[in-house]
Amino acid sequence: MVVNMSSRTGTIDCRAVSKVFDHRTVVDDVSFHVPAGTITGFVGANGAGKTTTMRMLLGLVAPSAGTAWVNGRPYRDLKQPRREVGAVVDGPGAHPGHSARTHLMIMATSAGLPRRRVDEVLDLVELTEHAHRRVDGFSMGMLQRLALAGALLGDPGILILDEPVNGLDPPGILWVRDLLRRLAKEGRALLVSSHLLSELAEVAHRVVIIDRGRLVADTTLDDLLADKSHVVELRCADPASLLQALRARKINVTVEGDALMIEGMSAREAGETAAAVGAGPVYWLTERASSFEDVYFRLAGSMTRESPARTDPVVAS
Amino acid sequence: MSDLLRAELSKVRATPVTWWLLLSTAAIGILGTLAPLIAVDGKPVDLLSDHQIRAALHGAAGGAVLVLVAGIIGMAGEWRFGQVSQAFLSSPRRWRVVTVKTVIYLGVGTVYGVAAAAAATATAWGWYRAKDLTLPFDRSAVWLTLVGCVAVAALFGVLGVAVGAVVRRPVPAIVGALAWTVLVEPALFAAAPKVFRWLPGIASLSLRRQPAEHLLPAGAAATVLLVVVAVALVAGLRLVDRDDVTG
Repeated sequence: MVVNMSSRTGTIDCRAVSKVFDHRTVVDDVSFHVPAGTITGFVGANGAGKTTTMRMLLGLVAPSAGTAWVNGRPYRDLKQPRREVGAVVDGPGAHPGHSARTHLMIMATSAGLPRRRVDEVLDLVELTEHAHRRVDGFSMGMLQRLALAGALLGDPGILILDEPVNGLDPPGILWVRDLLRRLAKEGRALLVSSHLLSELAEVAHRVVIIDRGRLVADTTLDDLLADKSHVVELRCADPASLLQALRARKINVTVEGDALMIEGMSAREAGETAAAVGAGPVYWLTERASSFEDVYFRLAGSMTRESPARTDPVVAS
Repeated sequence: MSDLLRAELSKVRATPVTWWLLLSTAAIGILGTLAPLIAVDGKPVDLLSDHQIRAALHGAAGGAVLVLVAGIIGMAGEWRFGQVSQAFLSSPRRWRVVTVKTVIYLGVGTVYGVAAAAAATATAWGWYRAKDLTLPFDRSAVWLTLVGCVAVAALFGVLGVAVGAVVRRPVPAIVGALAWTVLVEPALFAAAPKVFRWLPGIASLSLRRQPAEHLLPAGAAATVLLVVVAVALVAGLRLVDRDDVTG
């Protein structure tokens, strides 16, 4: 595979950006910066405002307040947008009756890009042998590769990718991971959203977390993980009474199924507290280093873990 | 802009429904020509009268409603498969996308109209020949009818783009446009012809030289159609430019 990619750079900036749909605030005063040469993971539950923020950066949704800029300008002011910004939003956006090659050829023509780029990106995403197949026969993984091919068509310095690994099989996820790292090494700025937190932890240099439209963290992954060192997982006969006791002591605790995830105390302290409040026999007690997911759930809350109290945004340079 | 035009043309050519609608438009042109000829077959009617020539050839525009559908699919269809995001990512100034589609579907309508007119002419020529008559191509009744049919098809192509830009959901847009054109307008015209002859679909009957009473003069009908198309296009342009693309 011979792909000649130029080393381009770019930056992404959201400043106090908000979006209100029908009196409902979807994004609320969010600010963050994605520097060149980095991968920034964009994390939030479904409906948190990730996609809307990305669409504001791409000029598809108009901000109600604030600015969402790429390379220091609104997307609409870019002279050759495909050469500056590549995006995956809502799949490849291909007509189901078109072939992959036709779809990319139409994109390349509309953006004034050379036709050779179509073959190059097809090669890059390993779809060359399927280039003449109709898109409606593509698997989810192939559609994601096609969407990535479209994003890379203009060899842009900025990539805004909404759930790029969605639907990919494990080898496909590995492939995307390597591709993202390579693109960042070339100096490009990448903003990548994903609900696969472990996947983002593998590739992201920085993390932006939003919850219900509000920014809760904008920091490096290292700083985020250094913030809390351990989490205790505890299962007992009466988790409700233990939860109440821990919350009364201002201990940070989240519920995952029948387990309590406790931060800020040791396993011994947690076990003693369970015994003291009469939470019954303890079935499971273990202590481990905090993962990205633990920190995420602590900061953002979620639909799957019980939401903790809201905290101030964690912002680091 | 030329890049966008070439891309849109490629898109139209690569989309199978374009060709199916073209075939259907030509087929309707043939049926629309045959039907009035069969209706008067064996009756003491002068096939060479202007009235009979217009009655036969105006059927070339019978498929204009499919050009309307093609225009709607071309514009509103962008929202169906997420193509619109890609279109606006390539051309963030959205008016350019709508303008390019207007130009392309003006051309598509013209091509459809020419194809239907050619099919209708060939059908009428064959019928007349079978009756030992010659279709008088030098008569204005022939070429004004055919030119009118092509003009109606071209304008309906643009009207389809405008309707698609306003509604942006292909199925409701197509169902609504068909119901309005095929059912509502003819019913209203039948109820009060002098009032409802100003409706765009009824005006198009005059432009295609359909022999019927109470229709507007061709010039006024063309003006009505042009104004309706222009107003719908401006409304569509403003809505497309203003509204968020959320998925």
